Amino acid sequence: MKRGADGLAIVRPLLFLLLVLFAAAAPAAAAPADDALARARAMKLWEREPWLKLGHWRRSRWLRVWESDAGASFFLAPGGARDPRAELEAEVLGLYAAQPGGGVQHPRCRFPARAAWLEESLGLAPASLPSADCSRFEDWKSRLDARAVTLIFASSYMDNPSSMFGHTFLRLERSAPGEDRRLLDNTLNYAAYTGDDGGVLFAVKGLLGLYPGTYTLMPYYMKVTEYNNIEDRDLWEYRLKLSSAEVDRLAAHAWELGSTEFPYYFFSRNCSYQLMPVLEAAAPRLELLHGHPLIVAPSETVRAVRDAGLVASARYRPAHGTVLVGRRRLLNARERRAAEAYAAGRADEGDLLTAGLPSDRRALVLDSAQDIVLYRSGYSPDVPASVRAVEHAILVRRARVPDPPVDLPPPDDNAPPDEGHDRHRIELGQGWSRAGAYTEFGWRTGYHELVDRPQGYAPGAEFDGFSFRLREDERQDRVYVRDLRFVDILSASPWDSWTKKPSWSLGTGLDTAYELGKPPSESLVYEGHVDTGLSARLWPGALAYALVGLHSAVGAPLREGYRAGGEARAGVAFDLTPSLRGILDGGLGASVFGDRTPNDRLRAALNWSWSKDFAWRAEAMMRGHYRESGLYAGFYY
Amino acid sequence: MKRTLMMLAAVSMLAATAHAGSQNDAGCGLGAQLFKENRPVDQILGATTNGTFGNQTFAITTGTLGCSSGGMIKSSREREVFTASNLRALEQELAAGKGEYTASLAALSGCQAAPFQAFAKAKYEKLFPSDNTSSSEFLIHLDKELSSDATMAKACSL
Repeated sequence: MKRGADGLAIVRPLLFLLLVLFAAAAPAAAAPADDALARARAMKLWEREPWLKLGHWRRSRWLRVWESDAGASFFLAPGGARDPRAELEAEVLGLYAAQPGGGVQHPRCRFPARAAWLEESLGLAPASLPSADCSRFEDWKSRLDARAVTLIFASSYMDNPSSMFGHTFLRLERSAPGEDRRLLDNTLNYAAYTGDDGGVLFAVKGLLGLYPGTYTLMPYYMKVTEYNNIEDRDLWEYRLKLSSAEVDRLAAHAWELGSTEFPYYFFSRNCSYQLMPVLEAAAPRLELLHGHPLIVAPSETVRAVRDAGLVASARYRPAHGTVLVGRRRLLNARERRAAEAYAAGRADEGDLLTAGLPSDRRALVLDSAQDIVLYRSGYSPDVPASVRAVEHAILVRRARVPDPPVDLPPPDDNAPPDEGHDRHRIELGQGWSRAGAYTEFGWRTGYHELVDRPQGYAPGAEFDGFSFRLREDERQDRVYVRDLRFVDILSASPWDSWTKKPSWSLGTGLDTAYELGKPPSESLVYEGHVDTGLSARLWPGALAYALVGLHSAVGAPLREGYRAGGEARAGVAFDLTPSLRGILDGGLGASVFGDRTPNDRLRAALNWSWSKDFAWRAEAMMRGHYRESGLYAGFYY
Repeated sequence: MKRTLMMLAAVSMLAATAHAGSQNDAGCGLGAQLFKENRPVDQILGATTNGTFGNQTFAITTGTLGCSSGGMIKSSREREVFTASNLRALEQELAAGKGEYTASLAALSGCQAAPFQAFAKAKYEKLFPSDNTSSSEFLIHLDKELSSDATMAKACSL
């Protein structure tokens, strides 16, 4: 992607050269610049934390040299990305530069946060510096009008567990009074520009960091539309405890970031990671990355910020679907029928069904009806005329009912994401089967299984990124791979006639096919499956699901080396107490090709969360004629 | 104040005429773009990758592009862009008489939230006289109603 700043990148080394020449050729002006430079050198200012944080320099892991992953336009000195000292010296000279012509910004205006820190550290009075025309920055800053900063976390979609990864961005709050005008605030995002690439190319480029990532500003209402209204994700807003000087520095630093490109790595230097250096640049007292070398997931950003004592308050902003389901729960059967009739364009039938209702109930029915219309047709202004006609009939009626919309209580099954367990898990276990005892070691990168402590995660969602379990068979004295999974997803969204979300699951990886009746250490196959079905909320904290789908597997232990067929799966997950969770999951697998050994299985588990970071689990499993039970200790970190 | 509102109405009218050709252009087309970019496939990919809009509207660049400047909507177009992007959320709140979208529109119109919300609810059928009222038409109606109401002229100060 070509940007306007690229032109600037060519100008910059020239500008630097001019600065140096200017400094050498004009002794009268050079004296204070030389003096400032000499003092900066004597103080070794480039070694100071605030400076290193403003340039996003970090010690590289292997060579122990300083480096910044920011693009060239982020530095005044050529090679500044690897040389904090050269950049500092260029910036000190830049303070004394004459106002450049041709629309090029003065170094003090291009990098206002760096300039301000240098002026402060060197004790330079602004009056002692040559004048610089920073009107463009000053105008931008006054329009930005940032007075406070809030970290926003977009939680997972209800029906897309891969979004368990989440997204984070910053909201820069304007000075306008009243919480009800926050939609008009600006947000600072870090995102990749991925163009139209798709499929494998997209994944490979993303993993290799070949997409440029940039910081952008966007009105908060656009982010709310994107997450709350289109993608149906709840938002959590964490107001940060930053001083007004730190908020000012954050705004100035955002200007410095400008259109600088950073390599965007999907699973390391992503939206979540890259917000941390920005907060550190604004408030050098923070060490957000230091104690958290593995900040990759947005929920980890939230925890890092919370652990640093930065969170002043948290606020929940429900997704449209959450509001819809919340309102629906308040309606009786007749009122639901009325709302459905209005939403289907049968206003007369709706009027008949609501005749004689008190006005607050009628308001609730009409609000629900419009929720259904918006849920089904989306929030786009360009919907078919027929949809607009249906909603016009609803809203004209709604305007005649005086009652305001009811305030909905927050959903009972939703806790802030920072209250959830950490995503990595190490597991140690001891188990017994007819073939003898075994010990087990397991590890997973993330994020959450149905049996884990549910707080802070979307109910009914399971997402396992990469995991393995090794077992030592004590009788055979052999270590074997119990399983090695690349991905396992279960999305159990309670079926609702208004939202109509199906449930589904998929998974692929190595698995031990115990049902074959061979020694477990000789039963490893590569399998994949995909299922779809329905779920129901039995009572608060209890969810049942039933799915049917296809499965296939390849591997030497299978007769003919493969199998493929259909399967059915059903289960229930329930909370006995807030820390005691049980699941029961069973499946029937029948193959029509290859090895036709049936794969019937049943698993029961009881998970006791001793704390957020530690849990005991008792588990029993039958698979074909194989039986085992075990006790496991899980550490989350 | 009344005069300011009349002027506002006139300006909106001009803006509306300029955009009369295509509904998509209302609010600089940003609203339409926001929705277009969110196809279900993009959603699933976007969930883990957070890919973004393929344009420079929101880049913190130094220049000025269309209706944005330095990554922010120009204040002269803010009300128009906000209304076009959020028309359907606004409709629902205007009819209900409460909410953040209407409070924000009140702020952009220079009005206090509560009287604005009550007024807009009472005038709903004049603001949306037909079932295909566009965002620019709605703003014209709104300004007309606000400026011809003595109480609102007091509650709103620009």
